[in-house]
Amino acid sequence: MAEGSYAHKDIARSTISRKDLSDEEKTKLEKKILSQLNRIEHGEKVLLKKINKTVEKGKVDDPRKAYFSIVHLSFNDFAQAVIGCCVFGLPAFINLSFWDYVDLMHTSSIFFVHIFFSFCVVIAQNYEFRNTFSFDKWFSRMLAKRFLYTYFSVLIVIVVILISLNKIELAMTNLDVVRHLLIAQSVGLFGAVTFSFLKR
Amino acid sequence: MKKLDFENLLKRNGKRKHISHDTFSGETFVDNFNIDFIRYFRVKSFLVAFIYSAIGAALFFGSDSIYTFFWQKSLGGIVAVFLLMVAFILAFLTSISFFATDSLKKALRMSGRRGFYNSFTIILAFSIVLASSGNFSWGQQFYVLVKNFFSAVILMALISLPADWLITFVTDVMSEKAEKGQKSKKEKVPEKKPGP
Repeated sequence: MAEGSYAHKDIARSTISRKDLSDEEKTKLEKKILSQLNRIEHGEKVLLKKINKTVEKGKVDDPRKAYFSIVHLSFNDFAQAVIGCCVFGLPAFINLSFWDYVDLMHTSSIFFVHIFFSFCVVIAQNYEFRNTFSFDKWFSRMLAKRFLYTYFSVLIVIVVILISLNKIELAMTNLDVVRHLLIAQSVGLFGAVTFSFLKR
Repeated sequence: MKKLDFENLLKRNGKRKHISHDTFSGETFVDNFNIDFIRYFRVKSFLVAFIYSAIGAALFFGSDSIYTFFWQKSLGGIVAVFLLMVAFILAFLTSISFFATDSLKKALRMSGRRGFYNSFTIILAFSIVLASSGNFSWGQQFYVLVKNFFSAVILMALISLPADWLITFVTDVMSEKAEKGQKSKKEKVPEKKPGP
């Protein structure tokens, strides 16, 4: 772009210095060339702005920058997780056919669903804070902490909901309680992360 | 990374006496006294808390007199004692960190985080001891697990938390003193003047 503007200047000088042109024509030409130069300058500024924006966006990928946002679980984050878990989880938990379906499922498949959902949540949280799907060794420690915070925040809500819906009772067996907890926790975790994504 | 001037930092903060630098995040904290044992949850703290929690759980499941003592009490009473203990622990951690930082918000955040990590460690130790001692089965009534959990956690917390805090605090202070001693020794050694 800069080279273009220098070429314009040379053309302008050579054109203006032509003897066959009158003064009026010369001033007209000068104005034309100047306006063209202004346009080029404006184009350069717009391009620079775009470049700066992309550079700033790239900075978010720096794990040390993202550290400060991920390591502090504020009350706002906790509330988001709780609300997300309730908004997305409650409709499923209230529906009786959901529990009928859960009763038909094998325990190992419930366990695998839980592991898969947890893994998805880790990936989603990594993307949420770093704008990339690639993992960073330094950042993974922070990510594990964040996942733990989210997991326990959701667990507290899930336990309260399940107790109030009589899906966890003292007379039940450990296996039934664990099955209900795992499946509800998977749904709640997904809800919590989805809500923070929607907010973004 | 820029080297920190600790003496200047202390001068700027007036009466405050202790500086703690988090090498991982790069943050520096200036407190009235050493509260690193609350601020950080390091491998040392985890190991001490885990070992003493496991000892507590082993005592609960191993000793008949302790086990029957808890099983004679009602579940409601045990849960009430558990909640009281949690409130006391949080109040203790908050008050200490409040006196050190002069900020209730920071104190609450620190105590909450420390309490969370301690509870995580205790639950982990309880689960391992429960599974290895044979006191758990999938067909067992959930009531048994709940009562065992709350009873064992009371005992585990009473043993592991004071030990964790005390050992971490004492070792922190000792290592700090040793560092200061080494620094003063280095300062005392006169620099060699270049000879003719």
